[in-house]
Amino acid sequence: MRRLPVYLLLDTSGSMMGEAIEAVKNGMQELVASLRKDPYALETAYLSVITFDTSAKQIIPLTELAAFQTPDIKASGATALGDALSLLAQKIETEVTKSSPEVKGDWKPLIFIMTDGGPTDNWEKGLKELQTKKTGEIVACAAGPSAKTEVLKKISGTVVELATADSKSISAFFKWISSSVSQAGINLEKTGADLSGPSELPPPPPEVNLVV
Amino acid sequence: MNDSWNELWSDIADKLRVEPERLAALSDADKETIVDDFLSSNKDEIIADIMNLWEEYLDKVAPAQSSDTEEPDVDPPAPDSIQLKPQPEAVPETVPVIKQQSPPDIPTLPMQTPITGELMLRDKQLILPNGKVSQPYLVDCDAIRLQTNISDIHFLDLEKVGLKYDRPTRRITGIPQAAGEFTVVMRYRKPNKQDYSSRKITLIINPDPRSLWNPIDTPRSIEYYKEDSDKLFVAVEAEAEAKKDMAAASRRGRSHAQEGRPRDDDFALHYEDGWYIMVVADGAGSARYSRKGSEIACRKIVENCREQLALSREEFERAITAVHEEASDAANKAAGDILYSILGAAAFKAVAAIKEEAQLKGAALKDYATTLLAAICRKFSFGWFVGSFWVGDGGMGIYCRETNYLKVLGEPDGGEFAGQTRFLTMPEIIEPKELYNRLRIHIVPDFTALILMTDGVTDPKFETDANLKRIEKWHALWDDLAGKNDDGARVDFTDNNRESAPQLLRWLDFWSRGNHDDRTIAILF
Repeated sequence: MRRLPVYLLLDTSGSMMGEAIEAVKNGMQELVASLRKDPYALETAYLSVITFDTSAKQIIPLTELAAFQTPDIKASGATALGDALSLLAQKIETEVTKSSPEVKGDWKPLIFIMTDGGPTDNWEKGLKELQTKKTGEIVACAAGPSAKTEVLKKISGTVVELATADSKSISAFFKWISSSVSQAGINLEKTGADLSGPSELPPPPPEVNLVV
Repeated sequence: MNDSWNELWSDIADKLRVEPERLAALSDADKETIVDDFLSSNKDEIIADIMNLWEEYLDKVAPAQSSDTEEPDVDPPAPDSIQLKPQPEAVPETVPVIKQQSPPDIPTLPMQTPITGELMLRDKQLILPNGKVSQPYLVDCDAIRLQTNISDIHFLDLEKVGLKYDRPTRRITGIPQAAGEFTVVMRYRKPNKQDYSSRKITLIINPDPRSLWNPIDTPRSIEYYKEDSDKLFVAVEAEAEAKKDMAAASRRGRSHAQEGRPRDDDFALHYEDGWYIMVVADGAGSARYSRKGSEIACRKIVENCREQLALSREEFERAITAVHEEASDAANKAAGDILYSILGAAAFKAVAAIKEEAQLKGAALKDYATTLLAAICRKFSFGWFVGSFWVGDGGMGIYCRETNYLKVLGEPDGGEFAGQTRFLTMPEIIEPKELYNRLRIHIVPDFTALILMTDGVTDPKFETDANLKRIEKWHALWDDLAGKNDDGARVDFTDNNRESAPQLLRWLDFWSRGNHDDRTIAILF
């Protein structure tokens, strides 16, 4: 069976402390709870969580949705986005199965990045490594006014902006991820082709603004 | 302490020959320690003993299951020969303490592999593996006891999930009945404490994905409405030389059904003057009118082949005979050229017909994108001729079970990423050279089946393009069709079996995780 890999890259730097980090945790819980009700996602989606603060860590390796347990996350330290992108590139290489005549590969991974600040490390290096991998849709979310949308725009074709990193907006973003993953499932089944453009994402909810 | 535990305890106390006066002085906690020690130090013997007990118990509650019931006096069979042990290890460890009274609750050994795992401590959170509705759950809670030195673990509220905690084995077992997120409470004693402590644990029970697929009928009001499933049987009487029959079925995929979207696949079968015509087509899910594209393609291929065969049948049959007799490149080329004028031209005209429809509708040709697999066949004195044309994914092959013969009639069009297929409606496909290259001619002495399938069938049954060329996979498919499957679906490929079409339609409803596309299959047998 072809799996649909979904990577969540979450900023757990010090600035996320408090309401934001709690909202991210709840958001993940809601995301998983709602995907569990979608038969296509339940059968095919695999989730991984990579957090980044002073360095990046894959706290949940690519895991079948049915077995996924929401991790506990805490906020502290800097914003090593570049490290997170490098780690993501490595994980895509090792965790995502490529198609060959002998092996039916996975779908291209969907990637969701959420950050509330500017990267504190060499993000271009990480991005370069990521660009050597085949990925599906990358959605970056700039949470709150300190996030650097111009950096995110270089990483992803779809950058969304939350005016504030409060629980309501973050929850809305996770709901959007959920419908994106469900929609991706439908599209894969429908077209048999891999995702290419942001036009295939569901329209963002009102709390989320698309950066053009 | 419940009854079953007490029974176990008294068995063990017997075995250890604990003196009655000592027995009376023991606290529950002491008893538990004794039982634990006993269980861990005498595991093998206990398993044998328990197997005996278990067997006696079975004889008692379910005598009908034993073939020895008519001679109740014979000795129970030795543990080795016990019949009920597909999982002999699991039986003694989980079952014996559950002494239920009513026969229906006898743990008929689970057909499904249980979800196994252990209660874990992570980031100071207690974590239970997620369960699944109707799938046995078997989770060990012993590691946590050793790790944390706590004792007397038990749980509240597990019953509401359909699970229970089995103290002697320290396992949570059972079969969850409902999906959701449940909160259960673990109770335990910390070292040297008399009072119980409690911790809440979230236990997630996933639904069975099958229960989440809810088909919605396609609204009849949509443009180009098409029935959600279709089937056809074409009996060919033995009047002529040929007497193989054809059956086909097509079924809307669960992913379409879930959203009330129509079936995009289609097929067509026709028999006339000794010639069999078979077509299956898979309309591209991304193209809004592909259901019409596949329908026109199938219909037009049959129409055009009939027309052309009427004109050039004799010439074609002579050319095919020459291919058999001469086996020369020139003969092949001559027959190939005629096939081109029949099947190649039919494909070309099918595209023209689709184009016309698109213009009427004010839509683009690509809105009608469809794959196409077509074959025309005839029985000759020297064997069967099969001519074919193939664009896109899916699969088409001549299969002979007895002789281990397989001829896949072309190459599935998968790009670097399988799933990026090609369609009949792409402009490059109807270039003469491209059309010609997709034609195949073949003569075989006989065969079990000529099978045409859309990718809704090949993806789950063959998985990869490489497998499509493996005879074992075709054997497995044929066995599967003949009833070797979990659903009890069976197609009887006997002569003149009109039921084969509905049987095929039912078979198409097979379950395959993650594979819920429209499915169409056509078989000449």
